[in-house]
Amino acid sequence: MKMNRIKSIKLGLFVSIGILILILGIYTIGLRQSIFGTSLMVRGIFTDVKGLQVGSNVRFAGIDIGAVSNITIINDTSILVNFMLDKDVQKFIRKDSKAVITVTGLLGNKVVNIMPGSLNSEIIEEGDILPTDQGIEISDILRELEKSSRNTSAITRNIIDITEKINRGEGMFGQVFTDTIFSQNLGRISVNTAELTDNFATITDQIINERGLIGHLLSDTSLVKEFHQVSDNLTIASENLVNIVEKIKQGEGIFGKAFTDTSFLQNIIFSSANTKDATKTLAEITNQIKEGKGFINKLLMDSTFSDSISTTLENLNRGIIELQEASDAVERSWLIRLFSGSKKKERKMRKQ
Amino acid sequence: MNEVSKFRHTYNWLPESVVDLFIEVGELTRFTGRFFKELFRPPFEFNEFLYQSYIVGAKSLGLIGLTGFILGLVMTLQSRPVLIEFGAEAWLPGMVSVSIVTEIGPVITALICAGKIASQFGAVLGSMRVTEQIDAMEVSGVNPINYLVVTRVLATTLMVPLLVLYADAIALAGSYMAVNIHGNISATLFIFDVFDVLHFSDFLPAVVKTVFFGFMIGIIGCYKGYFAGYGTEGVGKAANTAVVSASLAVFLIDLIAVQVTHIIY
Repeated sequence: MKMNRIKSIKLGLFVSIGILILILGIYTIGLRQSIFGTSLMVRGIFTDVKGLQVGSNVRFAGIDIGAVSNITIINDTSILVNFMLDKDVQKFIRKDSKAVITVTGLLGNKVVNIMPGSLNSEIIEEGDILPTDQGIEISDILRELEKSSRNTSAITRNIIDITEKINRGEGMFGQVFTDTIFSQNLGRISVNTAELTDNFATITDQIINERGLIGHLLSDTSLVKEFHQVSDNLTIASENLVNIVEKIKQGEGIFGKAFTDTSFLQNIIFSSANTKDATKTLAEITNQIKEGKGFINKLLMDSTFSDSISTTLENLNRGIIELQEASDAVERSWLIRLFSGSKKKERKMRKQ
Repeated sequence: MNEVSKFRHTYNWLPESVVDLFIEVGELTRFTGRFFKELFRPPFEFNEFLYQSYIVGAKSLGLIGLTGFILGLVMTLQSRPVLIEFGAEAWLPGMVSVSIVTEIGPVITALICAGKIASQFGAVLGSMRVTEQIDAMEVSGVNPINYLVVTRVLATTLMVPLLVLYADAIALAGSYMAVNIHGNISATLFIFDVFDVLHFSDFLPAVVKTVFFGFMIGIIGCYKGYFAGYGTEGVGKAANTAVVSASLAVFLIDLIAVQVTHIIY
C-alpha cells in the first residue's frame, strides 16, 4: 500500500498532537512537583514523617510552593526530608520558619506546611535545615479524646456515688436535703451570717468614713507622725538606758557604786546596822511615852497638863496684845512723833 | 518424527492444551527474536511503516476518541453519587484522572487496539499466507518479516502509546463535561484538580507500559497471521486467536507493570 499526501498529513497531525499531549502532561505534572524551573533545596529533620511521601506538596501560607524531593532515614529518631521550593518564594522564608507536617482535610494527603518566621531572622539559603515541629495528627486528637472520655466517665461515676449518698441522707449535703432540723439550723446560720456581714459592712463603712480608732488609724496621717515621734522617743530612751547601763558598768553614780564599789556596799551595810540601832532606840522611847514616862508623854497623854499649857499660852497671848496696844499709844504720843518726823511721811502718803 | 512429535511422545502425561500453549509461547519467542533480528537489518520499509502507522494510529483515533470520551463521562457520572455520600465531590476530577491515566485509559485503549488491529493483522497476514503471497515474497527475494512484520509491530509499538494519550485527554474532557452536568466547575480548576493528584509515578509507568501493550498487540497479531493455517478457516482462526491472545497479553503486561511500578517507586 502506498501512502498518499492526505494520509501522510493525517498521520503527521495525529503524531504531532499525540506528542504534544505527552509533553503537556509531563510538563504540567513536573511543574507541580517543581521539577522544572529554578528551585531551591532546603531540608528538615523530623522524628516522624507520618506517611509523607516523595512528591507531597510543600505549602507556605496555604500556597503550594514546592514538593518533597527526598526522604532519608538518618537514624531511628531522625528522618531527613528534602524540599524543592520555588525560587521566587525564597525571600519570604526565614531561617527560623518552621516546617510542620499536616493533613489536607480529614482524609487528605500529608503536606509540609512552612510557617512564617520572624522578620529579624535571615532569609533561607540553598541547603539550609529548617526547624521542624511535629504538629498534631488525628490520632493525637483521638488519644486526647479517649483520655477525656475516660475522665468524663470517672467523673460521672463519682457524681452517681455522690447523688446516691445524698439520696440516702449521708454526709452534709445528704443532711441538707433530708434532715429538716439541719436545714433549719442552716437557715439560722445563714441569717446570722447575713447579720454578721451587715455588721461587718457597717464597721467597714465607719472605717472608710474615718470613724473610730481603726478608722483614724487607717486614715489620720498625724497619728502616723505621732507614732514616729513615739518611736523616736523610745529610741532615745533606749539609748539613754544603754548609757546608764554603760555608766553602771563603769561604776559611775550611785547604782554604779552599788554594783562595783565594795566599800560603798560596806558603808551601806554599816549604815543599815546604825539605822537598826536607831530604830531600836526610837522604839524604846515610844515605849516610854506609851508607859507615861517623861515630858513628851505628859504633853501627849496628860490633858490637865495640856490645859494648863493652853491657859498659859492664852495668858501669854493676851499679855502680848496689851503690850502691843501700849506700844501703839506710845508711838502716837506727840512727843515721840515730834522727834521721829512721821508727820511729814503721813502727808506724803495722803498726797499720793 | 519431528521435534514436536518427540516432545509430545516424551511428555504424553501433559494435557494437549498445555503442550500447545508451550509450543505457542516458544514459537512466539522465536518469532520475536526474528523480528528484532530483521529490525536492524536493512532495508527498512519506511513507507510501509508510515502506512501502518496511519492505519493503526490516525485511522483508530475516531474509535479510541469516542470510547475514551464515553469512558470519562460514564466513570465520572457513576463515581459522583458515591463521592457525594462521603461529602467529597471536590475529589471527583482527581479520582477520575488517576483512574483514567494510570489504568483505565491504557488498558481500554490497548483492548480496543487488540480487537481492531491485532485481528486486522491476523486476518491480513493470514490471508496472505493462505493465498501464498508470503511464500511468493520469500521466493522473489523480499524479506516478508522485514516488510510485513517489522513495519506493523513498530507501528503498533509507537502508535498505541499515542492513542492512549489521546484517549486519556478525551476521557478527561468527557469527565469535565460530566462534572458540569450536575455542578459548575471552571476548566482551570478542573485541570488543577486533575493534575494536583497526578505524579510522575502515576504518569510515566502508564505511558511506558502502553509501549509494551503496542508491541505485544503487533507481534501477536503478526505471529498469528504469519503462521495461519491453510484454508479460509485458517484466516478466521488467526484473526480470532490474535484478538484473544493480544487481549490476554495486555492484562498480563498490566499485572507485571503494576508490580514493577511498585518496586521502582
